[in-house]
Amino acid sequence: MHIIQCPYCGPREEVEFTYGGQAHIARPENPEALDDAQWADVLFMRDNPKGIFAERWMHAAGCRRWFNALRHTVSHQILATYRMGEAPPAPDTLEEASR
Amino acid sequence: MTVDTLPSRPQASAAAVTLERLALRTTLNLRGDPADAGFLDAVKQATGLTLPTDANTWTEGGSRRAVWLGPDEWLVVAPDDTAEALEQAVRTARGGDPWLSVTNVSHNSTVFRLAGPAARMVLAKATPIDLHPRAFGANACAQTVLARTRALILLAEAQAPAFEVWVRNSFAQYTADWLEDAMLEYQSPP
Repeated sequence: MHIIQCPYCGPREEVEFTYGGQAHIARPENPEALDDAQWADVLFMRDNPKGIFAERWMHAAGCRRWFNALRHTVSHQILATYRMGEAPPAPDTLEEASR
Repeated sequence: MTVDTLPSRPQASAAAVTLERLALRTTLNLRGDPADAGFLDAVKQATGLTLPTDANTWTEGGSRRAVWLGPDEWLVVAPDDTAEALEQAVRTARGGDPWLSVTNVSHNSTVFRLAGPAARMVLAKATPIDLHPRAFGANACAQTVLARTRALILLAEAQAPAFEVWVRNSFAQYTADWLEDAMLEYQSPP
């Protein structure tokens, strides 16, 4: 099965994890200043790239910590995982994404 | 067999694998910042336990145990009816720590002990984690999936081997039934 590297517990099966959507979304400093269209954009609009995507995952059946992952949306290969608050690893340090 | 009728002591037999339910013990969920050396020292003083900072391991101190649950979370296991004294000792040693959290979870889980030469094989049917001694050796523990429910698995004795399986109370009967069924092939017919 698919193995995901939890930054805290180490390699575990995908069934132990839950998905949390796109990572690194900058929340607006002043939400009251937004009009409806902008607010809808903040709430609902997410990227959907074909390629490497930064996502949030949670180790639900393990340590129950949230972390970030870089996943290739074509191959489903998880190229890196890193803790909340850490910067994503530079693209040239990732292993070659399979197509 | 229902949970309540499971033997509370290991039966004297050369069975390949045995399942029993362990009696209630005091269990505290402890959270704090391990980067703060004062926190680890205070817990050591109050409980005699060196909290494990390596993932998926547990440590022992006297009659107590500390089990790693997360980077800032542990399970402290102690003899029954010591929860209040233990909680008070930790709180006193760590007064004013805003990150400290001590929660009595003694009645949160049912603990099974699965022991015997075939225990690894039985458990491996139910969980995706690698139970081979090279990956899950002495003092190993893991919170994981067990027969589609969530469990804490702990290698209590590496040689026998003997595992402790912690599940939520409401899953106790289900887990016992599942494991007993998984044990059938290792038991000689009566």
